[in-house]
Amino acid sequence: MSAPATLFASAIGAAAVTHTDSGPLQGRHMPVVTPGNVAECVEVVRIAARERIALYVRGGGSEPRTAKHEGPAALLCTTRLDQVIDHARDDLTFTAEAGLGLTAAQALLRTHGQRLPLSSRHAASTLGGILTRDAEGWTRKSCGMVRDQILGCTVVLGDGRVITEGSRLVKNVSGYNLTRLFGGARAAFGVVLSLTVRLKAQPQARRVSWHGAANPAAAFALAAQMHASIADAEVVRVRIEHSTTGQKCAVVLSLAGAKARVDEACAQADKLAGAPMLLPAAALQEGGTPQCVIEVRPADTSAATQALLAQAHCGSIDADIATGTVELLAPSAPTWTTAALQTLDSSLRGLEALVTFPANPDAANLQRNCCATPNPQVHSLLRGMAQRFDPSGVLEPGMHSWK
Amino acid sequence: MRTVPEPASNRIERAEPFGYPPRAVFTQQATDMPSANFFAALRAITGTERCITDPGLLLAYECDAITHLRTTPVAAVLPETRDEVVRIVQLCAQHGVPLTGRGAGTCLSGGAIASPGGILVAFPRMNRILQVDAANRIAVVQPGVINARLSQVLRPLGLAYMPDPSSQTACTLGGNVGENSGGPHCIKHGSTAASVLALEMVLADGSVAHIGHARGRTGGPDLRGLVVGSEGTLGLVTAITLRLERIPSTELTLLASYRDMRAACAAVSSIIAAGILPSALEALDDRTIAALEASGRESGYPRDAAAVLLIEFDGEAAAVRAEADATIALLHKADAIAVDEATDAAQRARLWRGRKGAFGAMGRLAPDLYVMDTVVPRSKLPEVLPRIGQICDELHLRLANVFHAGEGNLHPNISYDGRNPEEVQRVILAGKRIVELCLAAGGALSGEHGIGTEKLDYMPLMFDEASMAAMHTVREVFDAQKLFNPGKVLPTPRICAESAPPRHRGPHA
Ligand SMILES: Cc1cc2nc3c(=O)[nH]c(=O)nc-3n(C[C@H](O)[C@H](O)[C@@H](O)COP(=O)(O)OP(=O)(O)OC[C@H]3O[C@@H](n4cnc5c(N)ncnc54)[C@H](O)[C@@H]3O)c2cc1C
Ligand SMILES: Cc1cc2nc3c(=O)[nH]c(=O)nc-3n(C[C@H](O)[C@H](O)[C@H](O)COP(=O)(O)OP(=O)(O)OC[C@H]3O[C@@H](n4cnc5c(N)ncnc54)[C@H](O)[C@@H]3O)c2cc1C
Repeated sequence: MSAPATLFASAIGAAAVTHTDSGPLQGRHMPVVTPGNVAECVEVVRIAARERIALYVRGGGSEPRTAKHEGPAALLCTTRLDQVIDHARDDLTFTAEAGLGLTAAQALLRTHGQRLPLSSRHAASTLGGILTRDAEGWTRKSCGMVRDQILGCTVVLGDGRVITEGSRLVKNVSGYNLTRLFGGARAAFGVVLSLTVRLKAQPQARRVSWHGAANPAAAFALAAQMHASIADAEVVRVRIEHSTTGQKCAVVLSLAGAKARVDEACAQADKLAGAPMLLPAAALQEGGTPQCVIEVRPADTSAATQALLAQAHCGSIDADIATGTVELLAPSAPTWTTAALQTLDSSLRGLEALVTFPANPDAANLQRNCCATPNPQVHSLLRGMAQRFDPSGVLEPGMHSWK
Repeated sequence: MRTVPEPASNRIERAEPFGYPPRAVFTQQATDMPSANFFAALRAITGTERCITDPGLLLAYECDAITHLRTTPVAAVLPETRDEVVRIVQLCAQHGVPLTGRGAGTCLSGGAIASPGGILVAFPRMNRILQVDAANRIAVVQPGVINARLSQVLRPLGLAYMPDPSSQTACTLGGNVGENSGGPHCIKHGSTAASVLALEMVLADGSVAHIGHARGRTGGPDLRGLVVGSEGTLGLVTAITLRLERIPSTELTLLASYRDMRAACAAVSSIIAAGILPSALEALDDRTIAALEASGRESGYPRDAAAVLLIEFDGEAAAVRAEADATIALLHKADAIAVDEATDAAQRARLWRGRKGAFGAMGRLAPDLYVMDTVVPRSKLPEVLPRIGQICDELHLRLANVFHAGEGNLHPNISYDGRNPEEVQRVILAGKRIVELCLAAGGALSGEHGIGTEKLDYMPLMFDEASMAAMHTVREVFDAQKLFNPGKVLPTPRICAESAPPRHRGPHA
């Protein structure tokens, strides 16, 4: 065993440490440490901080990544931190360890007529991964952003201290809201051990439908009409199935809620667009980790889609006109040449787009924020916090442009 | 360079300000006055008219809406532009003078008062709505815009800014950001943080940061969400980008009355447990109703009820009807005396007039009103509410309750006479006991009014040392010199150590 593997094995047991040849992060072979409980996870972070072993964190592993770090390193896997800590059914809150998979959590809650207002296309995504990636899915329009659903969390900071922020309450302004800071931070400041999320009731009825359109422009026009006239639609998305031989366009509409209302809204939609093809609810979250996600202001969704269509020659594009999110879904990554990225950048610059490549192992380097103004103050504040929370810099080196 | 003084410990004394009766107040004393050069430089930035130093005029700024906590600022400045704010911050940094942002001063936790020896930076002159982008449902505003004014401007466009503190006709959006304010309609639409997309903010070194983005995500840590609710301790906000919503097509309001508050609370718990999400779920008790009657405000609340619930639904008509019907059934199941339904705008407005006027009506019961703010899990309301009544009875205090029941956000309101120091001590003791009760029930210190100076000493009751230290770290990274609103939100580490739980002394004893 390599030195880091030995250290971790002696602290939490050899069974929790494996060494794969394939390399869990592209570009580097390193031991995979899978603590069996929160105390072991804290111990792993403390050892890493003391011994200056770089730690990369993996939840469900839906995002492949490359580790460029040269020194000793290990991959901390959270999947055994999967206990439900408190399901406060009557208070509509759910507290669980960060490695609990979203699919498992939703299955459990479904039996109680409840659900988490979170979504992912990847069956293995964990609650911790969704919080720390601020990973939005199809629930954003109807439930709000991920960051507004997470009420509190417990985190082991890079220096080994364990902190508990926020609460298990739906409303709380006591002290700084550090839970927000961990949202979207990946593991830059610490490893999330557990978190509390709001719950919602399962809708009484849902219908997901596919309304064909002649071309992208017609699909966007129809989607805009539906968005304007059915204010409470759960999802209004343009879908463009795109290949070298042609395009298939449609509006995917999801209506959910009280049965009477869903029936009424279905009639409204069908009057606008004719009888649709019905889809299973699971269709909203199929497709796997997107190859590219472009986020813009809602009114720019169509323009962002055009920019992506010009660069990505195969796969499907899902464009959510209510949230301004455009996703490219494809079984394999398109080659993002420098020239293609430059063209994408320049076509998106006026839109101030955020472009991420979740399924690409080189996502950290590819990510671009096509904003006109750089924001050095924000980076310096984030760097300042990372230096204090992770003074030995062991958490995910090379993964954050600002760290 | 002078270091910013830590606040002198709060102490009780008889203050005899002009114009109104003497009060027993907790004042914080300045340890040091800034130099004459400082004042000259301050006037050079804003001009004399917008730099108030006259002691008589500064009395208007010595407290916020929690009147027993006072500090007289050494000056109050009223900037008109972001550049003026930058220069004021730079000047204060250079002279080590603390500064506190101030909107309308309606804060209910003593957070909008100056720190000892410090100035107030008040934003009434930065009150422009800079942009309304209807297509993207976004507005960009200066911090001094009054909450209700934005809603008025948006209404003809069919748009609404949802967070609606009861003080919305006076409070500013900058103050709402400072406190992460809530309001009756926040149960469905979220407190202020859910509606803030981005902030322009002047940092301690005078640089201007752009935090968050109008499109929502930034692809990194959510600094925006950290700043909202930080009570002006991380910087001064000079522009705010807000998310707007469409005005709902249908609104329906219910008024349910109960023979006792416990039954009303049980009804609230059952509505939440059923997964119903009204757009408002408020509770008022009989003392509040009596105060409303006495004040002559026509609310239509039944006089014989011990508690009423005001419940609203918004959305599409069929969905609203279905939710209302399910709720009505639960209200009856919890033994409601009556459930009335208001569908037209005039009836709804009348019911809301009572709720929105409740604090004002209570203010007439006694010279002073202490509006407390704590939170408990919604399922704990039936057991906590009666205990709060007992605490106030034991201390011979007049309590009235009007609160955001659907979020478990309590507002025990204690009417008292601030001229009587002994009564003030009883009020503070009640506050402490209520906080302890709520924390023991799994609650939190504040749901929307913040920590300010009022609850500073209680922070270690809720957070352990490491969690508090992490908050201090954030503070240091933003503002190592502790220039912005020192002495608010975070107790000094010394106090932390002294007040490690369990503690048995009053917050300001
Ligand atoms: C806007 C957006 C949309 C996305 N859409 C999709 C989608 O539709 N489908 C999809 O599959 N993916 C999507 N992603 C990618 C997204 O990262 C994952 O889906 C997310 O859910 C990760 O879950 P995971 O458990 O698989 O995390 P992993 O892929 O294992 O890890 C992702 C990141 O989270 C960090 N992390 C994980 N757990 C913890 C923890 N406990 N503490 C600290 N850090 C942790 C890791 O450091 C890593 O950087 C999207 C991302 C974004 C930003
Ligand atoms: C009758 C009454 C009813 C109320 N009802 C509610 C309610 O329903 N819900 C609720 O949440 N609150 C309520 N409040 C409390 C209060 O109105 C809110 O906290 C409000 O947001 C304060 O706004 P303000 O403009 O008065 O800010 P202030 O009181 O002046 O300041 C509040 C905080 O924000 C900071 N601040 C102000 N401007 C800036 C800026 N530009 N940059 C940085 N920091 C700044 C201040 O330093 C202070 O810490 C009520 C108060 C009263 C008196």
